[in-house]
Amino acid sequence: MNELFGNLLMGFDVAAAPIHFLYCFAGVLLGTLVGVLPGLGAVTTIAMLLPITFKLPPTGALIMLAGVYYGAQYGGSTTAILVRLPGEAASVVTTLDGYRMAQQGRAGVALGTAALASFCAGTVGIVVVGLFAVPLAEFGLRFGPAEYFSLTILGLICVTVLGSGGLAKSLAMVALGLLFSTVGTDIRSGTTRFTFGAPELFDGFSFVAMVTGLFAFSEILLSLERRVGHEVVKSKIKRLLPNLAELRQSLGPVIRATGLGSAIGILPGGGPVIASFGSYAIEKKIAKDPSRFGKGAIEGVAGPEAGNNAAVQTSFIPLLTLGLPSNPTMALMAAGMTIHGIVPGPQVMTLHPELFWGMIASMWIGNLMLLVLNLPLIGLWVQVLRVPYRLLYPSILLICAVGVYSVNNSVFDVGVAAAFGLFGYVLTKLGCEPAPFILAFILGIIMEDNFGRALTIAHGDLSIFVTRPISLALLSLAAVLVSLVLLGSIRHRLTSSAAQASGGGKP
Amino acid sequence: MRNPDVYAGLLFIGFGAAALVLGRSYPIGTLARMGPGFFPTVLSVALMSLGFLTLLRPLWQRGDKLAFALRPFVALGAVLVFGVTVPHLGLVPATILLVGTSHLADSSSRLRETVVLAAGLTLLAVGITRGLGLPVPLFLP
Repeated sequence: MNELFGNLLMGFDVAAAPIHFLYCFAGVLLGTLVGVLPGLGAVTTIAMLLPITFKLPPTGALIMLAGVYYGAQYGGSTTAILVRLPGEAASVVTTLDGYRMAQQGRAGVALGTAALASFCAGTVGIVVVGLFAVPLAEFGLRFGPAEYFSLTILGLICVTVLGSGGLAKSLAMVALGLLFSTVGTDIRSGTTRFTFGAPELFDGFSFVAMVTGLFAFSEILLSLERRVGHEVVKSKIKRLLPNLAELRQSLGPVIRATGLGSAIGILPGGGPVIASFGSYAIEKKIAKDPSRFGKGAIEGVAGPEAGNNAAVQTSFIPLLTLGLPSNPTMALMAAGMTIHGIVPGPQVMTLHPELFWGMIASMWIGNLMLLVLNLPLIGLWVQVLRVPYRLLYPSILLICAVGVYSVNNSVFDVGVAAAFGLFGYVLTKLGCEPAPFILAFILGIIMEDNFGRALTIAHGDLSIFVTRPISLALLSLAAVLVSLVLLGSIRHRLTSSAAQASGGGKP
Repeated sequence: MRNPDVYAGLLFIGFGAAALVLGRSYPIGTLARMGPGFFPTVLSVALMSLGFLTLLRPLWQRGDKLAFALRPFVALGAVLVFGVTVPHLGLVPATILLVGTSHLADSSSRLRETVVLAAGLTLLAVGITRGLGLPVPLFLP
């Protein structure tokens, strides 16, 4: 405990340095802006910022990128409440009661509650990160190639089961992502795979181009197709802070959601999204009057907002302690670390303690900034929201195109981004999730490399993955998750066909 | 038969088959000494199997119908135009062309707005590249 305190103190020392303070501020401001804007999310923004972080000092760069991530959650709730448009996936649930509250003239209270809940949950989440960091990292240091392989399997299984669209399709996305990761030069043998002789592909697909296409461009295609106008709530925003009664109503949901979010965020998969949905479901279930939900129940805002922010903070844990990115954003952070020569893994804590603890401390400072700044800046965000989409999307297209091009001054990369834009659009239309694909793409190389090394050590004996205890535990966990999903879907099919059979006679 | 799962399944099978065919020359090696072809081959087979499973899904799950518009794809065209013209014409013309092309992607675009937008975004593009020291030429002969 004493050690944790000392580490956090060092972290705050690093985070409070003026330059890091500034990067944090820039990150959360940019993050909120991006979270507010439809069609541009944290993932894409971080991908576009990656080439820029080349020139920045590592700690500052990572602090800023992290700020974009959790800042976007704050921004996403703002749009959810004011416009009924979720700026981020995790804000979908906030649109239910948040927008209703806004329509009832309680927009300010909704926004204030969301901010306060997020701040409290974020604080707890950060403490969890600090607590888990040392033991998990020490645990991770005992990992050999077999354990790393099993960890990546578990990570990918988590992403597939926690997503939607059906197990087969999500697993296929994983397989596809892994396959795409093989494009380029194979590290082990030096042969080039699937490059068709194109030198631009010798290092594989540009990750920035892929993410930009898959997330930003495809989103623009889908938005242009939908062409749904949005109506910003017109009533003036009066008081921003919840009164005592509202605070009391929110307390329980916030506490519950913080616990839920902190736990879920650690698991690879859709952490903040699941946390917010889960919290809403739980609050509705245990509420004395569940019919209030959907009509402006403050619990429907406080809980999910707390949940998603807690999950956002704890989602840093697998990356910072084990080097395993738990979602596409973390994968980008991993890329950011690699750019600066910092190899993600359990050794980051010992080799770069000032980076590690500085980041953790700055996350808290960032949350505080968001709480203090966003409430006064609401007016600004409302103006931003009023910008019509026909002006937004060319801007997004341009910024993305410039970003992708400038990574390597490469026309090819721009083409790759466009191609993945089409790909992402097709995938969404077909009900497939891009997240498992991207995560698999990142983990592909780690997976293949460790698989090969483990087998070489074991002289080709596959049982090494189940004879080593940690590896066995990880794989078993993955197997349990898969069976839970299969059992769940079988039961769902049985009950729905039973319902169909019995309801067939009704007029 | 416009069920998306059918197309998804076909997509997966297609990718898997393509990878198998394209990668047939990479040596698979043995378990103890994996060659470059090992992982891709295993993945291709897995992908094709999952593709078949996805094809069968409509048997017990009603999916939504597929529909799509063509106009939004112009937005991708705008990006490509940018990418192709930057090395030949420089950043400023490329930006203008991108904005101009993307105008066509949305039927509610207004010409006057687009012109102003093009000017503004050109300034933004210059600002971003210069501000970050990105070596993108502004104008090329």
